[in-house]
Amino acid sequence: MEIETFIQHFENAIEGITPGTVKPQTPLRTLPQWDSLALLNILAMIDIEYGVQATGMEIQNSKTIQDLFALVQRKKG
Amino acid sequence: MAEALLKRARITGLATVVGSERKRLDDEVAQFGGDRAQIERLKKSIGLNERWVVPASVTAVDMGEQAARQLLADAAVAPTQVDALIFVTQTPDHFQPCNAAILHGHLGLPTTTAAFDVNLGCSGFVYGLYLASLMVENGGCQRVLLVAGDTLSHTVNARDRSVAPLFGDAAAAALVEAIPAGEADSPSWFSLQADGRGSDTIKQPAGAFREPVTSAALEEHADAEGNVRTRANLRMMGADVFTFTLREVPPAVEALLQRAQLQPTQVDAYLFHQANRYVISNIARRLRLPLDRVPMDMVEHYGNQSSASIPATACAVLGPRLQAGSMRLVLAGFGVGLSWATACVAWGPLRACSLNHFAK
Repeated sequence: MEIETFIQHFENAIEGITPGTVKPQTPLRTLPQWDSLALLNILAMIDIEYGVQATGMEIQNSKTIQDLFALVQRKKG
Repeated sequence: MAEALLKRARITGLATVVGSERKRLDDEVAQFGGDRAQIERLKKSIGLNERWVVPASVTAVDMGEQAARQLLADAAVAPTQVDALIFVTQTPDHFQPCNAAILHGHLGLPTTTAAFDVNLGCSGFVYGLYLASLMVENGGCQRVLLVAGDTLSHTVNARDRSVAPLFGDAAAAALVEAIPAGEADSPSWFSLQADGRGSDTIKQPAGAFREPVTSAALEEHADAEGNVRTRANLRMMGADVFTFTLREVPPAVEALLQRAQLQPTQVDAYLFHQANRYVISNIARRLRLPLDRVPMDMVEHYGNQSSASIPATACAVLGPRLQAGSMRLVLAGFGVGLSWATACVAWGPLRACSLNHFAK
């Protein structure tokens, strides 16, 4: 599981993000497109691309892209 | 497991009544935080636009009565021919008496007609259809009138952006009848499920007996996103409902198709509870369903109509086809409870299939 691929999936899932702008250390909350809709899109992306389910709470508790990636890695086991 | 295969009951008519007043998201930008760009994103991605509601003086009983009268007239059925009335609602006129009893009186049904409510939301039409079909198959009823409806727009706070734009008001009536002796079976597969661990996911915390109505219950509070609500208002944990739906509905539909021994392409249309276009499109993609057989636009025209949304979709989208011939359908209702139910049925040709706005 590569973080670069994860970032690509992340950028594709949220409308309005210019590809290449998101980095592992990017805090989610600093993204202007990060709203409740983005949250749903990311939940769906994680489910479809990685076959695991995160909760809204777990996403909210992730500070950076790296945190989110680590969450998905943990769930995949 | 609550799974059934019934053979001697079928729906012979439908009538839907939607709200009388149109609310448009474009007119409510200021109310919902003033961020026009965000509203546009919501409209486009979730599939929101306008909804039809009724004023505070109108209830589910009123809309249900109009639907029932329309249906009985269209299907040429007299009140004396109805053996039972089931009213599915979570917005009843009163805690007691139940809506079915009130409507029983308004319709002048005979005292030999049973009447009871089913307290479910988005799964309620399929649960109700299962009950009505059982009562016809094995419960001594020739004809059951199933009414499903809610005034969800009356449960939300107008300044709660997370729910207020979503809900429309509607009620639908369905006639479930025994197949006459000598006519072929019409198999209907049902599956009913629930998960009480999700009971907080969609909730009106105050107003009944766990948290009675007090002045504290009616105080408005703003959450972290600036959405305003009281303890008596309907609240929804959107992300959790979404993940619940994706987790449970696709496997339930797959299991249903297996039991019915049908390929997805052998189903003429999939009537999913119209929660919003976004979630239905996700379910359809997950199941690899032909998208032209999955209506998903009801919310942007009418709003999320709770238990009325499945029959409303049939009336709005499939009316001519259902009146012309038979269609093999998969129904899936899912939501508050958490509760979900699936059914594989054959509907049509129907004697009635109308959609009208509520008129006093």
